[in-house]
Amino acid sequence: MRHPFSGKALIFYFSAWVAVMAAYSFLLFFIFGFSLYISIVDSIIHNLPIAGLGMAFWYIVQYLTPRPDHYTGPIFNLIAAVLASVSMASYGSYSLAKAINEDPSYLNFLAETLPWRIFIGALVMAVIVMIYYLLKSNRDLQEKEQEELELQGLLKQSELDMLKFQINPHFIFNSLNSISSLTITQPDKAREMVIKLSDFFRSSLGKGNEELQTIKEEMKRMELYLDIEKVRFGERLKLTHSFEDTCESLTVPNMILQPLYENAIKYGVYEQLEGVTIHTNCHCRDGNLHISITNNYDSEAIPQKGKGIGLKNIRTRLELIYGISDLVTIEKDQYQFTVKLLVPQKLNS
Amino acid sequence: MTKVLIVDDEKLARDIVKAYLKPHADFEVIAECQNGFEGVKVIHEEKPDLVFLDIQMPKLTGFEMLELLEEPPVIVFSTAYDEFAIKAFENNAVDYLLKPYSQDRFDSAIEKAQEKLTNRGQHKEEVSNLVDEHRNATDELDRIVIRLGSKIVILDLDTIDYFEAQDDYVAIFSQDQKYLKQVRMKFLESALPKDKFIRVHRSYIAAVNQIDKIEAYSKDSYLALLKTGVKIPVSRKGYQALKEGLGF
Repeated sequence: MRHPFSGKALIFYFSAWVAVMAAYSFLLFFIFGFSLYISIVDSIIHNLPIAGLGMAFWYIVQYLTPRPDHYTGPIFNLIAAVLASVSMASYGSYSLAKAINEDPSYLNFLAETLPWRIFIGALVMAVIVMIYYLLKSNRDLQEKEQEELELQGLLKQSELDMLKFQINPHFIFNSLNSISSLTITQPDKAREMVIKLSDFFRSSLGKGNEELQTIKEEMKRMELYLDIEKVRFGERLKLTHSFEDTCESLTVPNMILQPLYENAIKYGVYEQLEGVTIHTNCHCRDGNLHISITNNYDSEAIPQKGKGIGLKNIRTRLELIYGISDLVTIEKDQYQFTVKLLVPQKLNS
Repeated sequence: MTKVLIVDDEKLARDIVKAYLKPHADFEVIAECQNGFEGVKVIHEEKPDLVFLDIQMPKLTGFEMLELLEEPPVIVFSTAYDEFAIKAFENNAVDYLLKPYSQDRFDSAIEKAQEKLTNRGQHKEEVSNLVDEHRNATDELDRIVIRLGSKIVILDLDTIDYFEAQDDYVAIFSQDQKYLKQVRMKFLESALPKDKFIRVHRSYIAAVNQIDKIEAYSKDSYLALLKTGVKIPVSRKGYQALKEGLGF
């Protein structure tokens, strides 16, 4: 940890000491009536070592931190260190002052005041140490808060990564099976599908992908996905779009639409015999992006298990990114199932 | 000539079965179906010897189809990915192909199928074991499929009042209708959601929310009065189960 009295603070620290020394000299000069020279020299000789010690005590504070469960040891050590160092410094100052002065009344005064000087020095040092602890605990607190923030960010990121896109193994293996079949009957189409599948995986698996991208890019990616599904399901899967061109540059979390299409296909293609039409609508209102995906479905059907995870993931993901809940709404009537997304254009983070 | 039926909802998946089948001159594809309903119908009408059966299909899954077949042909399953199914297959002799599969793997499935064709009785046993095993591997039952002549009915569990054992069959009472299904009570008891259905008697399973009240009948037996007005017997053991389940 950086010393708190460094840079500008160091100048402040010594300025404070200069003020203390001035006051000290003033006291000796006016109250005790020593000469100006003696007053100033005494003040410097006695205070400068304490000022230096004060600087040094920061490092001791680093290693002696009383904790609620363990404080007697550190406090005792600290008191001992303060007393020992201040006594030695004061005695050094005393010897030096004695050596360079000859005034008998001053020498007398010097000898008399030594215990007091040690006592006052220790008090000053105690104040400095307290200030250090105050600064240190404040800094620890800030650091802890910072760490917590970072940790939360990391947690959010990993949660988002989890929710982003989990490729359905069904999709992978069924697509590969379609390709395997096409290699026998229509090799050209097989190659086309391999390329589409690769493009789709590349754009969705990359770690370097931005969390947000434009709806135009997202739709391009979804087209790859839906093209592949169309090869699998043929006539049973029909797609229609209606787009406001002005929305093109608005952003969405990437792969947010994929689970919706997957659901629509699952409900539509797996629960009805005649197939499904999926309609995608995109428009902007009040600067926000509104996306709705509608599929026809059989409301009478008793669906097979395993529904709802995709939708839940999308809800959680949008909430994590934008900090707003209820961005996903569902509408259904007898024939149609619609999922509506409201995608804000300002990040709330 | 071995009559082959292909049941898969994806055309390309059916195509590859046909392509792989070409070198096997004594196998003939008599029909292709793209969902379980058609599959059940064609199996009854055309009686194929061998069926390539996909698991995940519209309306009826491959497993639900098997539940509806009294005399199942030799089955070769295929699936892209299904943890539960693969778990069930591991302990079972019924063959399965994991998509995509090679001609070699397909050929070995054909070879095994040929052995089974000569021993249909044993295969029937294996198929019914597989259905049970798959049921155990998956979660609780959420719907019941029944064949009514040429019609297939899918019953939502919430509409069922009670089950009654009748010889080899179980009668299912749902919305003033009675359906028969070839299934064992023990199987139903373990597969139905425990919080919704209770076995109240050796021959009866009742829907908990249909029970109106329970009255003593004799020293050791009771009667459950259902909301529809029907009374079904409750044994001492069944009474205990009800007590635990309903907490009275």
